[in-house]
Amino acid sequence: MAQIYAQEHSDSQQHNPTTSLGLNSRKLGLWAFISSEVMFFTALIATYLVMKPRNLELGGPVPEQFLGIQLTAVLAFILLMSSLTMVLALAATERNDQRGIRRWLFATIVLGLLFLGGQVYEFNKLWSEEFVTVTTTLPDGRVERQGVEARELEGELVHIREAAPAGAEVTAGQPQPVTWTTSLFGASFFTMTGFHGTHVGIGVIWLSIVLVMSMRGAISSKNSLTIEMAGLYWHFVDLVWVAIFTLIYLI
Amino acid sequence: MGDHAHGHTEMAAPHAGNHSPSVRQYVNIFVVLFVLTAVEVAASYLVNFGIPAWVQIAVLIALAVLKGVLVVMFYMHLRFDSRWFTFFFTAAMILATFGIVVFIILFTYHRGLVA
Repeated sequence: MAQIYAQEHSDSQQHNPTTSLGLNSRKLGLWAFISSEVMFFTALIATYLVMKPRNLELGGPVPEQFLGIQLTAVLAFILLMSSLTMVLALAATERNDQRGIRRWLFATIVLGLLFLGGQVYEFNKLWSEEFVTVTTTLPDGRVERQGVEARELEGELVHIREAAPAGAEVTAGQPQPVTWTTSLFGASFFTMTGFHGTHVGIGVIWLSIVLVMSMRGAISSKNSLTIEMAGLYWHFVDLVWVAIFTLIYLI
Repeated sequence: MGDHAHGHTEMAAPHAGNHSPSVRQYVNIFVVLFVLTAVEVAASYLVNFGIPAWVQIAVLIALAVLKGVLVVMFYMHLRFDSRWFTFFFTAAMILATFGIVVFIILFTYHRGLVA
């Protein structure tokens, strides 16, 4: 079954010789690239996870305070939608439905741009607002940290002091925005999500090129691999967000 | 894998010569992914109800893995494509998982970096 599928899909690509494994060379190349991308994002995610506890010890910002899951849940939904529109574009290509190809490719591009817009909004919020880490040292030596927006610090400090047990020491750190250079959290977070956003941006460019090709009548069921390749890359970018959404925003 | 592939052959039978999933299957997968994402968001509040943090983390990772497997199998066609592609991808994922676990243990508990 798998062989039949691979054979049919490589037969339809007349100008792409198969490898000695009997696989289409373009597709094999893309899967090798995706595998390398897995390792690339692994390095970034591992760095973030390793930096996270150290960031708090150094008085860095508390991620839970400003990484709202509402916005990112919407972004996750947008990327899921875009994965659906992408496979619908592929299905349209295999049916040779020219209007369908253009419609679903366009929808995928728009959803990709929406995702990027959401990310720009989030980054801008982090860069433009100042946050303070309030550290409560309990009498038994345990330390609790809370993130507070700088403009709400006075009121929040009163609440935190009231809630703290007798003998606990409450101290507030310096107000600072979350940027690439202000904390270990900022450095690892922006590098990771920034690279993901860059990948989305490259995907949007790739899909736009394919859309232009389609408008010129260069895409049909005979070369559906062109759409399938763009789709594989696009789904991989969605996959990375599935990991980032869970490991960074939900946990 | 062989059994799955056989099951799919029957499902795809009406479209002779086309072994990609149907539009309906694509939409069904999307609905499942959407529901799983909603469950994930709900599960992120489990600790607020006295559920231990490790249970929440395990549930969230399991849900993410399930979502990832669905995307890779159906949207990226690994279920229907050559197993060499599955091998390439799975090998990288195993290496990646191993790498993340090793780095967290090395630098978070062992403190090679910061102690």
